[in-house]
Amino acid sequence: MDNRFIIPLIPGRERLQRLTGATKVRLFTATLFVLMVSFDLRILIPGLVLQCVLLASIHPSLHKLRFIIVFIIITNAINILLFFLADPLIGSKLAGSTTVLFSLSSHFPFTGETLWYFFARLSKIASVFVASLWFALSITPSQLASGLYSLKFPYKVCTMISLGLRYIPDILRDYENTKAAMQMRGLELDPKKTSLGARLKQTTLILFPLVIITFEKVGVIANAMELRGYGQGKKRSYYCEPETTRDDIVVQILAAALFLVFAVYIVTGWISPHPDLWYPFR
Amino acid sequence: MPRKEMLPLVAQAAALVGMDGMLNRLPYELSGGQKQKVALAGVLHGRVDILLFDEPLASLDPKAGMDAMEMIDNLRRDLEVTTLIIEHRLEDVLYRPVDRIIVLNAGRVVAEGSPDDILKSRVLKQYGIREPLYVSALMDIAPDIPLPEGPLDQPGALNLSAYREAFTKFIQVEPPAPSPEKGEPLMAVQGVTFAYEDVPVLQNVRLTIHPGERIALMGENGAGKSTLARLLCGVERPVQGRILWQGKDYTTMSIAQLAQKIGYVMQNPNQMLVKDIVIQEVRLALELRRFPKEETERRVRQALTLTGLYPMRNWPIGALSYGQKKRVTIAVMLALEPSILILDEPTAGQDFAHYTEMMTFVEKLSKENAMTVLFITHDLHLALEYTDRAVLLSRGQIIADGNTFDVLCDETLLLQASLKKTSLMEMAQKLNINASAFVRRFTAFERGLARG
Repeated sequence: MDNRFIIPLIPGRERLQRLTGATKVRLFTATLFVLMVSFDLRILIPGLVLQCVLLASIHPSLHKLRFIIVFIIITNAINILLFFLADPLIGSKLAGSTTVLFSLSSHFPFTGETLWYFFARLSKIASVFVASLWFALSITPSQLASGLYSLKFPYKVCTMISLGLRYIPDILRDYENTKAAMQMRGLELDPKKTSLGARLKQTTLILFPLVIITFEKVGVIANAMELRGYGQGKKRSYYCEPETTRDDIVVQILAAALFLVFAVYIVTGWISPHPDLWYPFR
Repeated sequence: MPRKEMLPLVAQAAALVGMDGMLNRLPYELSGGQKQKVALAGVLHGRVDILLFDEPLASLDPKAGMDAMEMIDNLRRDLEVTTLIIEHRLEDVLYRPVDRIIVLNAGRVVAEGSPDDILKSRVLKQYGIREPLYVSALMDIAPDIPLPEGPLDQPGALNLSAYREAFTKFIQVEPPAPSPEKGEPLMAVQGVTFAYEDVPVLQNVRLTIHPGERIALMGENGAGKSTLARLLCGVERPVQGRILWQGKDYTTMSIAQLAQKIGYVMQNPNQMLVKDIVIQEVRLALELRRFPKEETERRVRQALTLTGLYPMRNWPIGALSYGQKKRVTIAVMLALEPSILILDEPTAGQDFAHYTEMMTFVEKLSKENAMTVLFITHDLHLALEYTDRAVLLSRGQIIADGNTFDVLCDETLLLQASLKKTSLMEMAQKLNINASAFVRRFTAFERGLARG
């Protein structure tokens, strides 16, 4: 039960994983900026392809990711369905034109714009999700901290984030033990035997000691870090950060290019506003 | 500091503690001893003048404890630093020589001197610290014989020939052998194999537990002791093999049902306590099981009285010491009136006075209520003193199961399980007398002394 969580603590061996934390954080941030800026499929489709290539390059174990992938697909399918039920003409409003393809009833016309919008929406979510996956699978908590620090975040904030991630497995293990202890004392967590409400209420019983244990740990860790002189200097360096290689420079240029796409999109948007949805078939 | 300068310094610090080959391991993959080495390497940077160790031996198995002391001593020599070790396991600390011993009590220094002086003065016992066993043996068995020449903290160098006669006579008075009446087995573990993910933890384990037994389950860190305990109370289930409760397969019983038969007291009490007030904590398990009110109150009162917590029943849990919390967890399990009680490291991190108090209480419990108690422990003395049967686990397999004295006086077995032979054994071997008989006799003798 030691490391079944997807937070890697040792950098992997693939090219993408061997990059410095600073490079990975830059690439990921630039990617997010570009993907978030619009529903424009001319940007989203190349984006999605790029993210999939990046993810494939680290050979992820699909078996471990199956649960989260299925989860994301289901929640987004529900999300799209609700959008459609709430407003079947949402795409037409955003694109500024209406092309009815066919209608189930007068209340639910299928327009080309709405289908296009949902396609764009799904591409956007998929590419952000895939980007998050490669990022999570290729960066260690310490590298994340050093990456954020290179973007001028205060290093104490960076340390907080990396420690938080580093201790998730420990906290989960404490949770397992407390849960076992509570089950021994008669807490029934079997879904077949107890209702959801009762189970939720009982889970709070487990969370209480978990919070206590975690606070104890926080105190111990804070002391240990202070004893080793943490927080004395204004700046710090990171042991976990590998040396910058040519790969890093190439990827940082790519990240800059992505950021440029974002900037150009914003600036041209100021000059002549883009339609909310780019739709080529009007 | 640029990373280029960091790399050699880190490598150097790791090499000092012998962890240079393991810099890329995950913290979870390290044993207790290795984690300690890492923690030590973490403070070795720069010029350190004083190294202070706060209970470095707590939660280490005896072999790992010896390695830790050796490492501390080597560091002191190589780096020429002053070293201060805070411990109550004095005998284990003295595995490597120290210059001075300082005894603290209630915030005051009550004794200070060379190990030799301190050991001879017997001031340790007075302040609830266990003396090295060989010292107690020499002074208690034959108080009339003048102590041998040479420093008392190095048992290997002592000339004990003067004691041979007294000791040979001493072991001739055999204590009554504990009556081996065993009823129908309560629990039977039949060829159980268990693995986390694909990592095997237990292999083909066979074990039978009878009513009223006191068993010590011992083995190195990570041998699978706690996993076996979790299997017994159903928190984990066997991958292969069966576990029988009174002849019936236990797979159909839930954890909650099993807990009324087997109470497992975990090592860390904080993982078990969820309520604000002591009495609520003890009551919780009965309330969750919807016991009738009078029955609940009767059991709660009984559990609290047995554990000596009744006067503190309305105390907030947060106000209790670690040892008291440990007691609450025992009371919690006792309220369910189980037939078997599993105690995971009941005395870890407690000084000798608290240790004795806790163990006397557990012993009383097992005797008065004919309860089977299974101790998971590294402590050889605890096993020798309070159990009849010892089970040794090593790398997931049971390598010995039998009378405590016989098992724990077998040097090859001890070595295999990362346990350390007691100084009593060493002494017996030196005097060429039967080690098992001597340890058995001396344990009974010391208990006689303690009771006056």
